[in-house]
Amino acid sequence: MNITFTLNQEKTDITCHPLTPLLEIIRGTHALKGTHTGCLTGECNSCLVLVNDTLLNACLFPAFRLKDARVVTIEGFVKTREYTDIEKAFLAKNIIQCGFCAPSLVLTAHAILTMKTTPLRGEIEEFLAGNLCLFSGWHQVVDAIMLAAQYRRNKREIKRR
Amino acid sequence: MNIREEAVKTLRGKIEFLEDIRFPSLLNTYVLCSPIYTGTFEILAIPPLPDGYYCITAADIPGSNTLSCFDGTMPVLAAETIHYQGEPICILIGEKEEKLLELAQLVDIGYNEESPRLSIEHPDNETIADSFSFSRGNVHQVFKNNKSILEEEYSVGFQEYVFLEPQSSVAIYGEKNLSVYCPTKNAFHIRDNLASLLDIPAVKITIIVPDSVQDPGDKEALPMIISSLAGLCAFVTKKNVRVTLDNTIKRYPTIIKHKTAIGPNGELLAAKVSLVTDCGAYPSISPHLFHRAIYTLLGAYDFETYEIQAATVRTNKAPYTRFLNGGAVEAFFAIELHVTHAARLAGVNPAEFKKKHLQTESKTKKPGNTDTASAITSCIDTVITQSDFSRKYRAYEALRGSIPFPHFQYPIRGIGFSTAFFGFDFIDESRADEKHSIRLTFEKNTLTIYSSATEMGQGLKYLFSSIAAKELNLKPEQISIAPVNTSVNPNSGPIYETHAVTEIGKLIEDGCRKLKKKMGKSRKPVTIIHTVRKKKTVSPRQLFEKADAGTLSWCAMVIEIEIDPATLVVEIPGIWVALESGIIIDREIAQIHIEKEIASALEMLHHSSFPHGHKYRVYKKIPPIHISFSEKHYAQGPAGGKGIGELPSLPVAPAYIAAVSQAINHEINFFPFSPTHIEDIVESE
Amino acid sequence: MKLKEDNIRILSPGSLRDLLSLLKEYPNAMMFAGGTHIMQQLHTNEPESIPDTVFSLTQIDELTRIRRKEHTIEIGACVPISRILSLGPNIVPRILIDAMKQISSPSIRNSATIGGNLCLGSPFSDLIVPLTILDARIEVRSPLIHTWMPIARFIRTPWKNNLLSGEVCTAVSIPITPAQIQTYRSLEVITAPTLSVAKFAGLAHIYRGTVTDFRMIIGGLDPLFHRNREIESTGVGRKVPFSPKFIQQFCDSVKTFVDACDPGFLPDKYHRKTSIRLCRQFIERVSSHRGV
Repeated sequence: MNITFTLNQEKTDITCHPLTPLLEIIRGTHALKGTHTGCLTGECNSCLVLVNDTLLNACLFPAFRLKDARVVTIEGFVKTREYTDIEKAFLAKNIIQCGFCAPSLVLTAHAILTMKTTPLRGEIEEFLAGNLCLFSGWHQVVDAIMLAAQYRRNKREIKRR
Repeated sequence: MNIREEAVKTLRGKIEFLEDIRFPSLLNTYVLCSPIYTGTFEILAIPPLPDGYYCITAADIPGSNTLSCFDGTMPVLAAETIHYQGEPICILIGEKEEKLLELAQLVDIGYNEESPRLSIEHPDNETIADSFSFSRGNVHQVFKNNKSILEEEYSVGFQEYVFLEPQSSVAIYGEKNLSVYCPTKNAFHIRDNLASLLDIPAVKITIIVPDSVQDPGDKEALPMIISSLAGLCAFVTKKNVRVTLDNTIKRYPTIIKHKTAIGPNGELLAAKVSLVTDCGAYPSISPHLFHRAIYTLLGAYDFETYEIQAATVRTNKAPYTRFLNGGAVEAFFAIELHVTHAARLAGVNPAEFKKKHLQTESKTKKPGNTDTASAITSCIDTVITQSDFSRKYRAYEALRGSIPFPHFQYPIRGIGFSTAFFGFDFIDESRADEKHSIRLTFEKNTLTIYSSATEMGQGLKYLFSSIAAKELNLKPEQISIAPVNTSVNPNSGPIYETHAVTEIGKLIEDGCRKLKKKMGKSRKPVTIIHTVRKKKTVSPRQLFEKADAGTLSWCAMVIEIEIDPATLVVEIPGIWVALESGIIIDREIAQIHIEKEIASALEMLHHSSFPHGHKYRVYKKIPPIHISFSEKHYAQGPAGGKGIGELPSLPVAPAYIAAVSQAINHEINFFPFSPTHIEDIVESE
Repeated sequence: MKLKEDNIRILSPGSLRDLLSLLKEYPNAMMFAGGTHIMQQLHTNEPESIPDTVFSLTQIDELTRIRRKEHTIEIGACVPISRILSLGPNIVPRILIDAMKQISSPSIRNSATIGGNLCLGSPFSDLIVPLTILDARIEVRSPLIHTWMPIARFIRTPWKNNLLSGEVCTAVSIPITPAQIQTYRSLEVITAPTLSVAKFAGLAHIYRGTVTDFRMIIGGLDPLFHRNREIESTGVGRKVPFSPKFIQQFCDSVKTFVDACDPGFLPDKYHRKTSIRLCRQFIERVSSHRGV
């Protein structure tokens, strides 16, 4: 099957089996290694990507659904303006550690902040459920996302003035 | 690349794990493993192999077919005899995975199966791989003269989980050098082992550790096996090869029996302790875990007289590797719960009771040593006060048994207290004659640290950068940590949690001082190598007598629990933990690390006892954790600090189980533990 | 994942009418909505199990609509769980919100659909029990029929639904409930020695001190749930707080009922006993509720 889609703002044509998981396309065909291969059953969320601005598990997303889709992996997301607040907050809270889950945590943080400008701790915790991270420390990740939300609010406030 | 750049790289998904590295034309492998537990075997037929396909057996090993870093008995590939299910017998190598699978079906191996030993009960001389006994005073006399005896058996059961990062190794063949990529914390041991396996000089082998490694609790024994197989395949075929094995990590059962004589005023008069652990088919790293368990068997408590008997038993299971904090977890679980029970017998609040029975100055052998009591008392006081332990304990104790269980309107609460200690002294797994070095290069206003320390998500690079930055008055951005490569970096010893910070951190600190002197004010490019010779490995017997509490890290913990009366699910309203670990080098890294250790320990409390459909460690929400530090300058540590390592995970199981026992008015002496066990207890009562 | 060459036909009908006419031609095609389950299966099982024809459904407008009616909310079968959740408790019954939050993680909920979840008939589903207690109905269409059926009739045994060849589930109609007490609990899955799952849903409304609505369902493995209307009816019309005697009688009836269920329903003892305790907790909660 031939499929045309946008990957990190670049038009891409691929030929593959229609049920090939997006993860294989990202890591294999396009060698974008920031999306990690974990459990392959949607349990660990190491492979999160944005498809048409929606946070999805690349291991469970079939190629045929990619037709005309906009896919953003961590490599593409870091080039956006939204990324800077998250990076700043995560670095401020030292949330990096081994890095296996870090790209997915960043994209999850973005998904939360897109939905809520002032997320509550509980809401962030609910959203993070499923992101298997062995090293970052749970409360610190929540703190970092709260901080990123603050940065974004501050920016908006400055713009408004 | 400095630490800040590296942090950015990590967040941006640019950090490379082994699976992310692109290698030139790699051949795949299929490792044929034994389906039987024990017996003999013979390879009856190997199918004709197409061009470019190979089969390697024990006969193809040019050097010594052993993993020499262990006790020298464990083969890399089985030859004639099988000692455990899953033992590698031969390896098929070739380009296509499907073809390898097809060929594997055609390899004919005849087995002569024998009856396996799978339990550690009733060990005999033949099955005991290692044993230890030690006593002080005459325990039998004390037991004879005392009527108040507390005798209990504590057990930690089988557990397993799967880590996300695959357990694999890639070997790149070169005429002059064999490069083996492997996520490990022990690169030099792997190199030396491979040299002996291939019968070539160690300098012809380079072990390279990727940018990042996900620590699965075992990055030594399994990587040792996998990298040996990969190196062997590449060496024999003269091709580049990848080997991947199952990444399931298992904890084998441990049984600890405590018998304690308690005096009329609640004194801990005598202890008789027996420990039996399962080391699997070969003692790989299990002797070290065994020694940890032995050293921590009596906890922080002051027993006048004691007798210890410990044995690690061979079974026909895969060699016990390193399951999260193995050894000490089991020993602390038993002693802490046992002393909690003793406190209850004496009718005293367990925190007060434990505080009263800590080892004191009079028991330490060397003048100038710090005693246990002064090392940990401030931690105990902090958690007792912060958690309001005494009041809560009294209240829950008063309710104990008075509520018909399960009561349907309100959750039932309990509170538990535990202490623990940890330190590199007694988990020293490096060889006694080893020299540990670091190399420091200052050039273009940047310091580069070369060591064998692997970052496995524990924040080591941050800590090393902080130590060096402080010593040389540099910004962390001016410090770079070189990736581990045995041909470039010196051997600074393996990475064993507290060892990494306390010893390698100290090497860096002292090295930086040396560098500063050499550099003077010129700030010209300069390189130094700082080396220390490893102290003689301390034997468990010496450890018992030495007791300088100042070299260890200490911790006290309170866990409060609440049991849902309908589902019997245990929730945790709060955990209070206080640590004495010298000066805390980086508070945020320390807090993240402590939280991670506690979360892992909590997950392990339930894991496998409440079987999930999966084996991944998933903790959905971590309870509130209140962390305090009792900072004391430690002169022998870097920046006055000591490693925290696995310490915060150790008091979790005993504090949690003590709290659950109080809530349900039934003493639980085992974990993993789940609501199904509460159900059984309710029914039995 | 090793997938063979293009031996599969993916058809993407643009409308419900197109789908129904394609169903005539390919009555045994695989319906691909969120695809979370199918993709998981592909990773774990042999890819040979995939049929030749797959219908991609998510671009069909009629299947992704949400319509609010006077007493119900009608949700297209291909609406992702996260979209239903985002409507909030003012539109979606609270019990369903609570249940949906228990479905895996937000990223999975962005893919997984309400129709997929129901049609799969998984004992692990967190939607079957709460939708059943809400008396939700499923719209079933084929080239020949158009019908609504209660969930209890649509799905009863694990991994099986009542769809015949050529039929497709197109929407779920959920009645709005004023019930003040809405409880959903999903217990941990037990896999050894045998697989066991347990869920509980309870719903009650109290008006001027009298219970006007009282429903309870226990979810299990096989059948997927049990609802005893006889026991439910004992709660309706009764003044709160209930007498201790009634509570005891009620609990005794629940126990007798659960004990009499097929052993395959709640194979694990912990699940059986906890279900009984949850029923008791629920009736005590209703008893102590002040109502409106």
